Amino acid sequence: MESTFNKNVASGKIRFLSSSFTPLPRVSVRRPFERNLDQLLDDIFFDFRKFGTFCNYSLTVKQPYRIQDMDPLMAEDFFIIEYDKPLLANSIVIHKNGNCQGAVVRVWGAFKYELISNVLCLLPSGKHWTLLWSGPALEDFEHRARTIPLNNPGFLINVLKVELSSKFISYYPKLSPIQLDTTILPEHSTEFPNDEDKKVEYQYLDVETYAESMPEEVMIEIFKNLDMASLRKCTRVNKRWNVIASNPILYRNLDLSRFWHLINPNSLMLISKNYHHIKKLDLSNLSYCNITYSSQHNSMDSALQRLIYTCRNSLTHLCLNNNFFVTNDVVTTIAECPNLLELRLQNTLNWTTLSIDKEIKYHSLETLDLSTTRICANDLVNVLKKNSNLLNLLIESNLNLRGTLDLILDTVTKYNTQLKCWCSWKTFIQERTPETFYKFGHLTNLEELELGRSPPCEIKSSIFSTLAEHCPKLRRLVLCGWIKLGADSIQAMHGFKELILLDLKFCFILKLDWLKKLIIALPKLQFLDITNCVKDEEVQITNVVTNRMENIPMTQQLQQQLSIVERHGDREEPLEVVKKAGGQFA
Amino acid sequence: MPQIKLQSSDGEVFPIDVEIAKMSTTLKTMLEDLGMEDDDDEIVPLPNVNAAILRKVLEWCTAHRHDPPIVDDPNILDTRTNNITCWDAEFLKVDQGTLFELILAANYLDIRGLLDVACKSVATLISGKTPEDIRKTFNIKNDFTPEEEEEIRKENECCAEK
Repeated sequence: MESTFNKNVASGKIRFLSSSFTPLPRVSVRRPFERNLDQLLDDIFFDFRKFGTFCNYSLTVKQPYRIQDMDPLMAEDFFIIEYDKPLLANSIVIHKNGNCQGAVVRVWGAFKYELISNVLCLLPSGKHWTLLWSGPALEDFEHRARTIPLNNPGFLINVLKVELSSKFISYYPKLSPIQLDTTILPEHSTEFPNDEDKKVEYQYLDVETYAESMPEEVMIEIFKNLDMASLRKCTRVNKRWNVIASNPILYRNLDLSRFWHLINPNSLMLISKNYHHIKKLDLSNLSYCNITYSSQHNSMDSALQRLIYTCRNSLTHLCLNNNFFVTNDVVTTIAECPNLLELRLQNTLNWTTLSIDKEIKYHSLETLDLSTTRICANDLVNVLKKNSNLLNLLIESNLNLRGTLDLILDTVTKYNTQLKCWCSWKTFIQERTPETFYKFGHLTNLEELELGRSPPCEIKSSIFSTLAEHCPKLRRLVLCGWIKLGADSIQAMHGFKELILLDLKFCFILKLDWLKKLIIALPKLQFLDITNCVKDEEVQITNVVTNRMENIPMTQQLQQQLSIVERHGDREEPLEVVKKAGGQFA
Repeated sequence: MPQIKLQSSDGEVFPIDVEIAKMSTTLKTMLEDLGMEDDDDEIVPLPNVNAAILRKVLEWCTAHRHDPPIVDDPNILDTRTNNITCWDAEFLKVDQGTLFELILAANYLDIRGLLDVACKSVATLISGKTPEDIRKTFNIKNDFTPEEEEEIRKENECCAEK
């Protein structure tokens, strides 16, 4: 048996990713990175940006819209692998990716999805998404490879979706899609499983029942505690329950992101028919959804449009992250919602302008997430001018905004002076004028500044002294990839007295001594990431903890020195230092 | 500590601290409106609650008398957690009839915390079950015609979690 399996290994290609994955900056990745479906992404390593408590420590983290529908396994990210040939998968093996493997919580499979006009559609003979494996994330998974058995070995697939929960990853992980193998079962061994519900008739006992005599208001109190799937099952119990469990009061907030594989245009039409007063709506992750044929693609985005339009006056929170059906028309419909406080469109690449020929009606946005989109600067400036209450602005990995930092900062410092969080990870690369960064100093309420992978062409220490002087509330600073930070810059950071989190990943060649002084100077610092940061010789390697997976060997000496600093630091909270990178470094 | 007397529907009288009685918004309003706080001999009749249930309700109120008050905000209600404390879980290990009567009593007396936790407890009996299992659990008769049932099943495909 074993030999059969060993020979049957298939390698898939990554087709679609949630936006926490970004390609690592390798020499070959100079060209603009586009996440088109027809482009194969199998030759690059990916950063998996979020991990553990480190990254969730932010005001910008999305709060759940409906707690009852929170994912018990806390899956937040995913990637989709596609295979050339249909296979009967037995297990999936993920190699050498740091502890990314430990984060896997679900594996889904589907058969015969095909790319038709840039949308993946289920062919008539295909098989819809089925859950093949699920389990809790494993903390600190250190093995080189993890084999995940697939529960449903008879299931023919050509796409796999792997869901990850980053909560339990303790250090910086990476993903290399080349190293995803799927062992294949011999084809003759199986039949399709029968997933029809087994019907058991139940004999009703003709006695008084409590549930039947409960007043409606009490039943609603009970139903308020149910997740959406259970609530919808209640509508099928009997006529009375159907009426009560359909009460709009139970559907004010909808989080359907966990039902990505079940939603189709009809379900969206049904919601817009029955519920006109939705306040918070989460329709994230609709990428490969329950759609047969491309002919339904249009009706999917028009159904989405119709739903948003129906609830336009009540909507306060709208999240459509990783949603494939966000088109210019959908975004233009969103512009009709005057009461929006939160708008999240992360990783939606099928639109270009926030409104076609229509005035944008939302003017009280507090959170705007346009990361990994194609928005252009003028469009963004237009929204910023209208929304003077903006607190959180997320514009990560945004190609069209490259080179426009000056323009955007001029707008923000004039119109959005209350801004608390700015996140432009990997957007403004090599800005030519370091002086532009001084403008952050006008944002005196700034608490979080995330400028990872987007340093100016020349790093000046005065950037940090300006920030320290004018942004006294700064608590979170991400400077990942600011290569060649000098002693004077680190010295200037001593002024960040409120700083709780500092990310200096890949700020190559920092001297240990500078860091020690910095830690002592920042009394509130709780998280410090110095992955790939301190030079080898600097550490005077004595007892090397050799691990070829890590770029910088950590020595016990360094650990000891840091722990001494921690003790001397006179701090109330323990300091959490991240020192190693997971995965193979190219 | 001032006390008042509550009388259950079957005639049993329960002397209790006013502080505990006031955890019931219904009783609190009544006591304040009628100025009954100083009058120890007055008996408040509760025609909707029998002695067994009232005893249970008072047990819960006594255990929770130091809880912070619950803010009745629709936004908070919509996003509350599903956690039930150990004590409450133990307290609610009762037959279904008692559980529903507790809910009715908590609703009538307007004791927010007890109503919440008892409703959560019923919700855990529903959660994850098929409609048929729900009917079985609560002894509910299916009054849909097969056609109606099929139609509703189709409507619900979007959230038919497997």
